[in-house]
Amino acid sequence: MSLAIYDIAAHDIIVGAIPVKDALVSAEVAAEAEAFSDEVGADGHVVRYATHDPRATCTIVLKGTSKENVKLSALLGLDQGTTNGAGVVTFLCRDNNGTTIISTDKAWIRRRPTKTMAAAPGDVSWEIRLVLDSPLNWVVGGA
Amino acid sequence: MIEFELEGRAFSVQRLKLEAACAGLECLAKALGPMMAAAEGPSIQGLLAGAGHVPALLKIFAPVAKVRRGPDGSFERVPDAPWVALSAFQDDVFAGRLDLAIAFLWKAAENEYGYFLGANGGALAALMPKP
Repeated sequence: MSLAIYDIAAHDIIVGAIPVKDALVSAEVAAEAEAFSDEVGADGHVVRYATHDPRATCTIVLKGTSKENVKLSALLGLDQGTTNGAGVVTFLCRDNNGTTIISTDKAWIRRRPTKTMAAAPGDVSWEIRLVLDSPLNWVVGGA
Repeated sequence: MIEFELEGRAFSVQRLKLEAACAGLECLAKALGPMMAAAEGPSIQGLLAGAGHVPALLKIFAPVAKVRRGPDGSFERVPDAPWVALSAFQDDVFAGRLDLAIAFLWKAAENEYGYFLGANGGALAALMPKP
C-alpha cells in the first residue's frame, strides 16, 4: 500500500499576491450554496435544479502576531479607500503534494477580523469572498 | 506630501506629525553624525556607521508613506497601480536593498526637514548666532 504525503507547508495560499505563510493556523474554503438543490411537490414529484452559485468563502486563521495581518489589513484598507474595485484580487490555494487547487481572479476581503486583546495573542480569522466561476479552478483533491 | 521614484518604485510620503518629526530629527542627527564628523564629508564608512538607525527612521516615516503595488505584487514600474501602506509591505519593498531604504529615507527626510536643514534656517535663522 502506498503512503500519502500531506504537509500544510507544501501548500501555496496567496491572496492578492500576498503569500500567506507566517503563523498560519488553518485555511478553509467553503461553498456558499449547494451546487444542486431540489424541490418536491405535494405528490412527491421531485425537481432538481442547478443553483449556479459560484461563491465560496475562504477563512484563513492566523496567529494574532502574524506578519500577514498587517498586509491583509492594507489590502482591505485599499479596497475601502477606492471606488474602482482595487481590492478585487487573485486568490490561489494549491497543494503542491496533491491535487487540490482553488483559484480565482475575483477575490476580496469581506470584513476586518475580530481582534481580541488578552493575555494570549489568540487567533485572527480573515474571511475572503471567492467567486469561483470555473470548475477547473475549484478542485478539492487528495494526495 | 511628496511623491518620488526610486528604480521604478513609486513612493508617496505625507508630512509627519510634530512628535514624530522631533523623534525623526533626533534619529537623523544620530545617523548622520558620523558622516558629518568625517573631515572628507559623507562617506560609505560614515553611512555604514549610521545604518543602525535605519529601522528607527523607517518606523517614523513608513507609517506616513505609501508605495504603488501591482496586482501581481510587484512594486517596480507599475505607474497606474493603487497606493498601499508602505509599512505593511516594507520588508517586501526593501528586501535585500538597504541602499533603497536609505535613499527613501534621505528623500523623505529632505522633504520633512529640508526647509531648515542645509537651507537658511527658516524660523531658526533669527535665533542662530551670526557667523
